[in-house]
Formats: sequence, C-alpha cells, structure tokens
Amino acid sequence: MFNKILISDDLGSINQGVLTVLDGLGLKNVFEVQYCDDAYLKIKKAVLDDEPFDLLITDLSFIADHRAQKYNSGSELISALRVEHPDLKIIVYSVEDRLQRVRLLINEYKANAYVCKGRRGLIELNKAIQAVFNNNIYLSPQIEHALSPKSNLEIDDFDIHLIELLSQGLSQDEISATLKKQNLSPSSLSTIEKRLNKLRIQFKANNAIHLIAIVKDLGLI
Amino acid sequence: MKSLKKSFLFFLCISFLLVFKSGFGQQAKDSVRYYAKSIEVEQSDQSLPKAYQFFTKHFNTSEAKGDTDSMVYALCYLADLDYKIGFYDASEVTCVKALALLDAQQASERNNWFRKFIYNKLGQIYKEKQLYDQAFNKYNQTLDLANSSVDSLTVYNNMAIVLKHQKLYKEAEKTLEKAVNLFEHIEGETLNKARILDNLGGLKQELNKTESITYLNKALALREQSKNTFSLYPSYKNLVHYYLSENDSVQATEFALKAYNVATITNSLTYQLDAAKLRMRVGDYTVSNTYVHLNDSLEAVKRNSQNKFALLKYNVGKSELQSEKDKNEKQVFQFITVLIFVIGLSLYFIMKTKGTKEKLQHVYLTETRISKKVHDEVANDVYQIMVKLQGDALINGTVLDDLEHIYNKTRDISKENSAINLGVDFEELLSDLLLTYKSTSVNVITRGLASVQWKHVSNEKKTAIFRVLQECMTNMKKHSDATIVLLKFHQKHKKIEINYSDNGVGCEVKKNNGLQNAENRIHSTQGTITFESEKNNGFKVTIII
Repeated sequence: MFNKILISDDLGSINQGVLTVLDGLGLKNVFEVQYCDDAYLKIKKAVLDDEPFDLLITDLSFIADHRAQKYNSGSELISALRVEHPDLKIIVYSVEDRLQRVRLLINEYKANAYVCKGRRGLIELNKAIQAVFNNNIYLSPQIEHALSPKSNLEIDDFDIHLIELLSQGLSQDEISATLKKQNLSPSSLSTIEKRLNKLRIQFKANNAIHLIAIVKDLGLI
Repeated sequence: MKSLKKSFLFFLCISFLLVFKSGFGQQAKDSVRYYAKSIEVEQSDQSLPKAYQFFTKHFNTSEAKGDTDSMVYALCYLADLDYKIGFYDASEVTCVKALALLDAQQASERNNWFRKFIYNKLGQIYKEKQLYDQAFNKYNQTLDLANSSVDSLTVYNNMAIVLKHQKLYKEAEKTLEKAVNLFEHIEGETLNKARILDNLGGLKQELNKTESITYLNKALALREQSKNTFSLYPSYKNLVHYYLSENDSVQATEFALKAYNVATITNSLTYQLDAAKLRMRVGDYTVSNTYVHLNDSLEAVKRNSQNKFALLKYNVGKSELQSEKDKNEKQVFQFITVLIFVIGLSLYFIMKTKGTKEKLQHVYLTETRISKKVHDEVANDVYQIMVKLQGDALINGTVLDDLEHIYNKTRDISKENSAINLGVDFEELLSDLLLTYKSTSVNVITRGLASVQWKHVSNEKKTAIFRVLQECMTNMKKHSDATIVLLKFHQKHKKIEINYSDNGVGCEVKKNNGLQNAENRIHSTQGTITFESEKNNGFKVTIII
C-alpha cells in the first residue's frame, strides 16, 4: 500500500473523514495541508529529503483568503505536479461533477482517480485508493460515462432510415432488400437485426411496434 | 423602455412623412378662365401682370407634364398680353414659339383654332409695327383657315384696317363690303357687324361717298341696341369726322360732346384724351387744359404700366430661378433627412443590440458569481456537516438522508448557474450536459447535434441554448418520470431549431419560474421558444434561435 500520503483540502473537517478512511486501510503516514502552494512545497521538499509522497488526495476548489497563492486551484496544482512528478498518484476529491472537468483532469492532467464528494464519497474514495494502487483509473459512478465515447447519445441517419422503413410496414427481410436496392450498406439481415435491437433498447421498446409508437410520439420521424 | 421605443419609432415615421408630404395642389380650372377674362377686361393695372404671371406658371406646369395643347393655350394668352401692353417684339417671339409647337402637332380642329388665333395676332403685331404687307399676309393666312363666317368677318375687318393705314381706301372698302355681304349668313354678332359698318362708313366718307352717313347711322343704331357703352365711342367719333367734313359744326359738336361723355363714363384715359382732342377739333377749347393733363397722365400710366410689366416679367424669371433653387435645396434637405433617419435607425439598433449584449453578459456574470458562492460556501458547509455526522453512530440515518437531499439541491442550484466553459467544443459541452441526465432509468437520445455549425453561433446564443436545455433536462428529471428524451438539432440557414421531446407524464403548460426563465433567455437573443404538453402525453419544446 501507499507509504506517504498528502491530503490537500481547505476544510479540516473533510480531511477528518478522509483520515478515517485511510486509517481503515491501515495507512498512517498521512500529512494535511490547506493551501495548494503548501502541498506543492511539501511534495518538493519530500523529494529532496528522499522521502517522496506516493499519493496526493486533493480538492479542486479552494476559497481565496488573505494569503496570495501561486496555485489557486487543485487543477493548477495537478497540472504543475504532473509535469515534475509523473510517478505521483493523484486522486481528485471534489464536489465538482461536470464531465468536462473530469475529462480534462483525467485525460489532460493525468489524474488517477476522480471521486465526487457526497453521501457515498468516502466509500468511493476507499475504492479509488485501492484501484489507483493497482494502477487502475477510478471514477465515481455518477461521472463514470465522462470517458465513454460521446456518440453514445446520437442516433444516426442509418437508424432513422431503418425506423422509417420499419414504420412503412416492412419486415426485416424486406428492409434488407430495400437497402440493397438503394445501394446502402450495411444491408445484411443480421446487421439490421442488431441495429433494431439496439434501437429497441435505446428507446426502451418491447417490440418493433412499440418502437415505432415511441419514436412517432417523440416526433423523431 | 418599450413605450419609449415605440414613441421613438413613431416620431421617426411622422417626421419622415412630413418631409415627403408634397403639396401638389390641384390647379383650379376656374383660375384659367379668371385670368383669361382679366386680359379681355382690364380691371386694374395689376391685372395684366398677374395674368402674365399666372400663364407663365401655367405654361411651365404644362411643359413639365408634356401637355402641348395647354402650352399653346398659355402661349396664346401670353402673346396677347405682350401685345396689349405694347411689347410687340416679345409678343411676336411668343407667337413663333406657339407656331413651332403647333407645327409639331398633328392637324386637328384645335390646332386649327390656335393657328387662326396666332396668325391673327401676328397680323395685329405687324400692323402695329407698320409692316403692313406682312400683316396683310398673315391676315390672308388666317382667312385661309377661317371656317366660319364670323371668323372671316373679323379678319376682313382687320385687313381693311391695314389697307386703310396704307391709304388703300378702295381696297379697304372692297374688303369691308365682302364682310357686309356675309351679314345675312350670320345671326347675332351685333358688335362685330356694327364695327364693320362703322369702319365702312368711315372709309366711304374718306372716299367722299354720300352713302357714308347711312352706314355710320346703322352702326350707331346697332351699338345703341347692344347697350355697350364702350362700343359707342368709335361711332360717335366717326360721326364727328363726318359732320366736320360736311361742315355741320352743330352736329359735330353734339357728337363730340357725346363721345366725351362716353369716354368719361368708361373711365378710359385713352378715350378721354381722344375725346378731348375731338372737342378741340370742333372748336370747343374748354377742354384744352384737361387735354394737356390727360396727355401727361396717359403717358405716365403707359410708361408706368410698361415698367411694371417689365419688372414683373423679370420677377417671373427670377422666381422661376428661385423655385429651381428651392427645389434643389428641398432635395438636399430631403436627402439629409433620409440620411439622418437611416443613421438614427441604425444607431438605435446598434445601441439596442449592444445594450442587450451587455445585459446578457451582466446577467451571466452575476449568475456565475452567485453559483460559485453557493457552491463554495453553502454546499461545502452542508457536506462538512454530513461528513461530521457520518462518524457519529448515534445519528439517525434519515437525518443524513435529509442532509444529503439539501446538499444535492444546493449543488443543483450552483450547477444551473455555474460558468460555462465556451472555450471548448460546444457540441461536446452539450453532449456532456445531456449525458449527466442519462441514467439507467432515463435514456437521452440526440439527433443532428453535429449537423449544427456551432462555430458560427455567438456566445450569447450558446449560453442561452445551454441554460435552456439544462432547464428542460432538470425539469424532466424532477417532474416528468420520463424514460426517453429526444433532442433534435437542425440548422435552418442562419437559425438553429432545437426540438425537445420526452415520454413523461407531461403537465399543463404553466409558466413557472423555470419556463419563464427559459423564455426570457431565448427572447433576449431574438429567438422563439414554444412549450407544448398534455397530461400523460409527454412534454415538447421547440426553440428557434
């Protein structure tokens, strides 16, 4: 397990929760800071002392106060550290759950996990620490799909065409024949079957008739 | 602001109309008759100049309209006016101008009539200029065109006068006798007939013919019959000459007196002077002082009226120049007004757009500021308490649930208004937004999201679209129980159409805060939004922006 851990969060009470989790995992060598600049300096110093941190758990949002900071947010801290310490594992622990932010931090800044603060935050953090230790990436369930391809949502022209043909009363065989006639591919029966199945799931339809009814109601065709 | 906007536009429109309201007053046809009459009967020494002014204007407007008939008509009167005042050269020029116009026209009865008038006028002009041959020539031309006996009567008379001036009494007599022979074909025309008889009588007296007195008396009888005081004067005058030549001084004196009285009644200086001369010729020198006085004043009047007329002609010319100048100035003013109008209008719209933009920007900034505050201060505090309580085994689980509920609500408020990172690909941003609402129970499907050219959409519009869709999705999540949400995007030229529809329970469309907000956002970017829903029949929104 991790030898030396740094928690960076401006709210001490939250750190308390995190400490409990770490304690549960048998991790005792834990340090806390409340400013990003402190975190940065501590990590630097530890490297110089030849006792480097191997895990950073950080919040993203820090309330600005009288102390002028070089790094005002967790994002800035992570982006700076990642360049200088590529081996350091970083877990983001934040209320922020916007997918762009998650995507940015994971894809660009190479954070290793993103845990959303919430009722189940600490449980997820526990899972995240273990996943990160095993060189996996962990994301809280509510932001999981941040990294899935975005075309997930989009329904394409071919799907529409299929549905239109279906709504004209054509059987799957007839649809296949029509597509072939129109020189459209894919036109094989199996592909059509697969596509229609996918659409049925997408629209939560029990059968082809139900699918058409739903799609018509929504005004898709 | 709205009323201000309206009143501003109203003001602009009114001023626009006023500038272009052109006063093309209908010229009363009566005025032509009035001025024509004023030439025939000199009412005052102002009447001729006024008539001249009127017909010059009439000619110009007709010329602008291209109405040659009216042009010639006006020229005839102008020629007559110049002739009356004694500007024979000017009159001749006008006549020639009229003839040129008539030559360009096709032969017609009207054309013929005008020609007759002009030839006759030219004859009179040449007579006054003592170009008797030319005058005679013109009268002959008039005669050729004459198609009624009355016309011929006038022309014969005029010809006779020319011949008389040339002392060709015999020829003159013959001409007038031709006219007399026409009498039986002519009804009425008493004065014309009287004039011819009178002139014939005068001629015969010159030729020492005895029947002279018969003609003169006949003429006098006709004139007395016509009750035209003016016309009596020539008769009396001729009778005075006759009786003088017959050495009947009693009769001569009597008629000279009669002539003088008529002249006094008619108030014509010319006649009065002539009458005074007659009385002196019959040996009545009581009027010699009057004669001298009359002679002087007549000269003065004549000169005066010629001067006045000349001045007026000059003024007409000047006013034409002035009106041309005014017209140019008017056009310049109109142009300037239009320019001001256009500039004003564009300024108004620029300011308006700028104002809206600034307002939107301001709203956006305030929202994000509050959002951050809610997030940093409230949500975090609530979370802090939650974490604290989690460690306490004595706390009931429902309290934690309630706290979590508050925490989530706070976060939702914060998210709804948080800053939108428009720097990244907007398609991705929207897709992420919609993704957050996708769950095992709700499926979100988009169509044509990539077909919109988001690059060309302004940030204001992007913000509005983002917020409104966010509002729709939040509504859906909270109230609809929908399992499928479909979002169609469609680029229509410069506009984007977005159709939202779900299969939820729907509701009566009431403008609650959220919908009102959405509407305001779309309207502030000049877009339209319509909501459509029925109970148990889903919820539909159409946005065109």
